Amino acid sequence: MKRLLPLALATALMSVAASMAQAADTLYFGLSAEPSTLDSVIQPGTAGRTVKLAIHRGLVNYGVDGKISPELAERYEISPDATQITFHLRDATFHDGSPVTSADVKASLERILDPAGKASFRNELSIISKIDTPDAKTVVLTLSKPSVSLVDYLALPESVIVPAAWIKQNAGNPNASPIGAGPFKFVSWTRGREILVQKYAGFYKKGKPYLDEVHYVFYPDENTRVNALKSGDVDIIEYVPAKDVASLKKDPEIKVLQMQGPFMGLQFNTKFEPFSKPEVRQAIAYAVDRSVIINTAFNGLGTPIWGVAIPEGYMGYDPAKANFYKHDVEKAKELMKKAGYPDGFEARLLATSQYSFHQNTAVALQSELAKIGIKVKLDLPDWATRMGKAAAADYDFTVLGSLGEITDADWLSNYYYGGDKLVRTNNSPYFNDAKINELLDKGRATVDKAEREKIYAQFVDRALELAPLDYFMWRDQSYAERKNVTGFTNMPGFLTFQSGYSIEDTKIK
Amino acid sequence: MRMSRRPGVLASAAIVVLVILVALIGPLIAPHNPLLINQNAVNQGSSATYLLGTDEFGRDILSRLLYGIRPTIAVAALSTLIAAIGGTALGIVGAYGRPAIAAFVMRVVDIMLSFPPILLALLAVGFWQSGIASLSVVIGLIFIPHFARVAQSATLQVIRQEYVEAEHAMGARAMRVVGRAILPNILSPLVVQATLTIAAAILLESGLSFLGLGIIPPDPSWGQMIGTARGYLNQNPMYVVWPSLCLALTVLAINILGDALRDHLDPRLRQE
Repeated sequence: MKRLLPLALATALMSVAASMAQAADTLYFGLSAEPSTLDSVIQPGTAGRTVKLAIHRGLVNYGVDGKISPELAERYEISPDATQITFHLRDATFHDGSPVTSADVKASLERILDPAGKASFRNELSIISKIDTPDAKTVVLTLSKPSVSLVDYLALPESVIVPAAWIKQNAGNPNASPIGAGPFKFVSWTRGREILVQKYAGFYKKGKPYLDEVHYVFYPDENTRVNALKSGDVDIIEYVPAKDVASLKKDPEIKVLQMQGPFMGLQFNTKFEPFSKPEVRQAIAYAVDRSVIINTAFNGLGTPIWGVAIPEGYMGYDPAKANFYKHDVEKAKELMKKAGYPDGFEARLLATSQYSFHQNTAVALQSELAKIGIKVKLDLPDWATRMGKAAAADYDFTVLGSLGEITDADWLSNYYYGGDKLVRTNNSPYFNDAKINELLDKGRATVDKAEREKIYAQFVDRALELAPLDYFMWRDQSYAERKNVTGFTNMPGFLTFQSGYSIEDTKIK
Repeated sequence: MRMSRRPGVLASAAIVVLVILVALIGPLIAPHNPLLINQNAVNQGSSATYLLGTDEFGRDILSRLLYGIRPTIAVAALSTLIAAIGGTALGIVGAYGRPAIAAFVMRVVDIMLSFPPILLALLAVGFWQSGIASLSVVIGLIFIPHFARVAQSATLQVIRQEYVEAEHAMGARAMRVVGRAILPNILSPLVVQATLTIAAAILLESGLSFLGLGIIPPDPSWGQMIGTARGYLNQNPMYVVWPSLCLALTVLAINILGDALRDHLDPRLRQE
């Protein structure tokens, strides 16, 4: 026994040394949730997208600079009237070694367009009327109407390209191991704990990725997530709670990557009588002191919004209209009187107890709206129940914490368009204004940039006049990483939720 | 009385009296409105204006503690009442009822006892809206089997006594036997059980509120305050201390008092 001990020790030491050598290129990424699915066509939330962007690439994706980056397509041409797009594929391979061909692109897009499928962006992509594949490296998309925003929708993590053979084999299997053409290949998903991916040596960008392995570990509790980073259990975390940003910045071992992308606001169920009146929705926009929300729910981190949530530099942004509202309780009371509610009313505000900033925004709003006589009852279920209620429009109004899916101005359609599906995740249920619909349709189909600017200026005027949604602030969407991590980028503005893309550039020392 | 000679018991009694007093007059002595948000005084430590500091909304922690005691005590008292009435009735049926019915009742009680209380509470609260009334009912139902067990075993001892036989001999109806002969004589273990249940109910309510399933914000409750404060350990370490201290002291005091009461009421222990 005594003689065995040194041997055992030596073995232990060797295995420690081995794991240290391996640890040099292994990154642990703390996610805010376990993805509900890795099905490429479904928008699973930021955590799921982060994993998808390690495994998959699309024809194009949003790059770290916020511009459209050619990926599986090395270049593309849009016809002058914006009704035809031609993609030229590069020599890329999927994780099973098979080449990426136009047939794979066709099958992937057809899966999204399948009316019986579950694709999150089917509506946006259904403008594609024909997919031609003249040869193995060329794909021609013909559109039923002109659209300038289609390329942006094709850049989403939900429009990635997967092998045609994989689709055929796994059509009805939601738990199939994903195969893509991205920098990392899927290895395993340990339910309740982590998803493991491994470097794909055949990735089409030579020399990338730099990491050998990435463990995406699930930390749904925000305090645990922050502590895991502080203690070095993980190397990067997403969704840094605002309250912890200051203390993390002070930590010499940690870097905080801050970005203002998402906005906080309110969606109104316009079937609830008081909220069918624009005056009431405007009254709320005047009544809420933005700094109360920023200082309490976001620990002082955030920028107030006094108009429509269009970031500076995006189409439709106009400094003159960015400060349409101001904090004016008297004016709010006047509007309430005009709407026929001089004494206010009672309303149910849906938020969630799962994300503290959602709940705290709701508590702050409750206290602000009491000042104009709106008695708010809070409904604070867990996130899944909250999403279920939102999908059924089972609320009077609800806290909105989101952003534009794409950087093209057509992101507004998701929030304002009426059409046949009047209850969506991000719109005000049952709101349907013919003029807004018309302007959004026109904006999407207009190629000329100056002409487009004019259309979206008209849109903003109408949106302010009717105020179907209220906005309060831009919130910080921060990542935090240990000092030895480089190359990960918190992508600008609306793209912060797609920062997972930059894992291909990430290194660890 | 022996009880009063023990300093721990005296202190516990004082704490319990204080807690009840604060629950009654808390709103009168609270220095601030517990819901009043002050965006310029977020997460502050103790000061002259805010004796125990402020929370993440700049609300006064002391005032929230003083108000937060009310839902806790209300839920504890109501649920104990429900558990006591329901459990005692079931327990007496389980001992004094027809054998088939008694056996059935006690098996159901056994099944309920085999579930951990917090799990049952989580399930029940998941189905209903949370709030004082529903929490009281849920927690009350959860503690019914505990009462039923105590009441049944006490009744089993009592029904063999001569005074019960005497009532039977006089032709008394079952309700009269229960009311006149059984209930008064099984009261002391039930009183002890009630004190233990109050303490357990406070803990259970706090646990649910801690998990975000109890009292709905912004109304304060101690468990909910602890749950929130947990996230602000870095910014305001004392925030978590105050509600935790209040909760721990209250539960400890009620338990010590319950123990003392049991010692006092149990004739076997009294003789020592």
